[in-house]
Amino acid sequence: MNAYAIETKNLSIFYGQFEAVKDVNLQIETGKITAIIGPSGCGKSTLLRAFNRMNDFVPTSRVNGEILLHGQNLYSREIDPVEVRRRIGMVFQRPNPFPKSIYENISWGARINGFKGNMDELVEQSLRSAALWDEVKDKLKQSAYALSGGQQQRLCIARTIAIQPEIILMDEPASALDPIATLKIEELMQELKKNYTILIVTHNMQQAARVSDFTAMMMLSGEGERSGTVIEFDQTTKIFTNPRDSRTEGYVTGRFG
Amino acid sequence: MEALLFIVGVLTVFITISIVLTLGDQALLFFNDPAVTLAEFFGTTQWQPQAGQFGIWALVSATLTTSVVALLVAVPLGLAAALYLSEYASPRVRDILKPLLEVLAGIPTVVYGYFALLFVTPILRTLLGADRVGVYNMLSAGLVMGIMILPLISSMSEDALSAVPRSLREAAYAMGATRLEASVQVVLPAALSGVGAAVILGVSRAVGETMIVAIASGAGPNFSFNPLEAAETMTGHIARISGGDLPYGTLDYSSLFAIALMLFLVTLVLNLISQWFVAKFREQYE
Repeated sequence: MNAYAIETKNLSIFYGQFEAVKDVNLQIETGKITAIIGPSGCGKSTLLRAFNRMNDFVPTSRVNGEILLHGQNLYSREIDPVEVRRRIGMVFQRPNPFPKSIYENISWGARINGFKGNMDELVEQSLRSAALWDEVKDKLKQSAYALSGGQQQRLCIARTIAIQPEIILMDEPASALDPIATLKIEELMQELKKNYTILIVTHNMQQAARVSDFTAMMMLSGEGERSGTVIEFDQTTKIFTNPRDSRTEGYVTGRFG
Repeated sequence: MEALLFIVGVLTVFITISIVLTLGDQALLFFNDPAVTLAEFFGTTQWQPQAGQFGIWALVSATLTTSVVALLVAVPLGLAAALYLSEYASPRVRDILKPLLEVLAGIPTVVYGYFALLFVTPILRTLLGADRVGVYNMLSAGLVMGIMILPLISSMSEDALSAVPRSLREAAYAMGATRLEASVQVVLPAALSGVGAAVILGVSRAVGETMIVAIASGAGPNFSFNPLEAAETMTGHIARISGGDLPYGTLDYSSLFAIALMLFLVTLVLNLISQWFVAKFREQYE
């Protein structure tokens, strides 16, 4: 039995012949927040999207190596990618609620995943967990597009919680939000990590330092510096105060990136 | 330049208004004739100008029957084709299939008409029995009309589906949706206004289509909603009668304008119903 929620072994991701992400080995601890940081275009999002097989929708994409969830390779032949996405939820860079009512935004995912219990309860519970219930409880029938960006993003988190994934992936979840909405999302993450393992990609180093327990530093490397890889992975405090790699130090102290 | 565009814009409105006025003018002559009453026109089901019988439902029934058959073919097939092209097909397959499908739209309707009469009808008569299916019947005309409007509906729907932002699909997939669930329950409702517009256009084409029904569905008004029977649609009737030598100013002559006006009305009502449907069920994204 291993203690990790999910781990990668020699993971490389290709688009056609192009190796976008190279040789990543990460052990993500259960119930912790792990941040993936690094300069633009270094493959952070590509790596994150490998965890729930969203890259499958890019026709030329291909994966080498393994991603292990409970010791099972997510890319092995007998695994259904739909099932993977049910167990590993995702919150995107820009809020993308469905053009349905607030209520249906939550209930839809649960329903297609065969939820048979009390839907009203699930909707309330999910919205409460996403710290959104008090703001929307009187307008559940209204369109999700009537909400502010920050509320929409919390709705997206709520609908992800509703399908009870084991891991939640967040792709720069606050990059389109103002500082107050960002703060709310960050506080929410601290609540969520009691029940979920969270992997977050962020551009914002202060954010990574504030919210995460572990940090993976990515950087372009290899031949001609075209493939992204994780150059350092450690506890967040170490990455930010005492990094081993000089490139990490340069990045987190703001000397480049 | 702005003035020119304005004139062109006004011109289209002007043309539409003149058509309605011309129709209305002649139709008024018809309804003012002491031999005709509005109650008879809208309340009876026999259309025999020679016998002085003017019940429009004899023609409307055929128009509705053939159009419904056509839409029953074109809407499900067109939507399925659109969903396949936009959600399932690889770019290469789409680049081959879409133009092929659009070729169907380029076939002259007279060819469709004889295709219905000489190819589809014999098959229907073999399958369903020659005693039940006439040489002329609304089913055959409707089916072929459905094939004719299929590319219109699939092509326009595909455009609407493709315009739905990728982020919505990703949201659905990330929730553990299958391709079918994502396409039918998320992408399709979001594209409903465009798909609705496609269906509205398809309805208008079906109601207004003349050649196919004139050739394959029969020449003679018949109040019937049984697609296996022969019956003449409003358009088919106008085409047949106006082709003969009708003296100007007779009741027969002006009755054609009344039919045309009715055609306008039917299309309008169907458009309103479709718009209501779209407004009720569409899911608006920003």
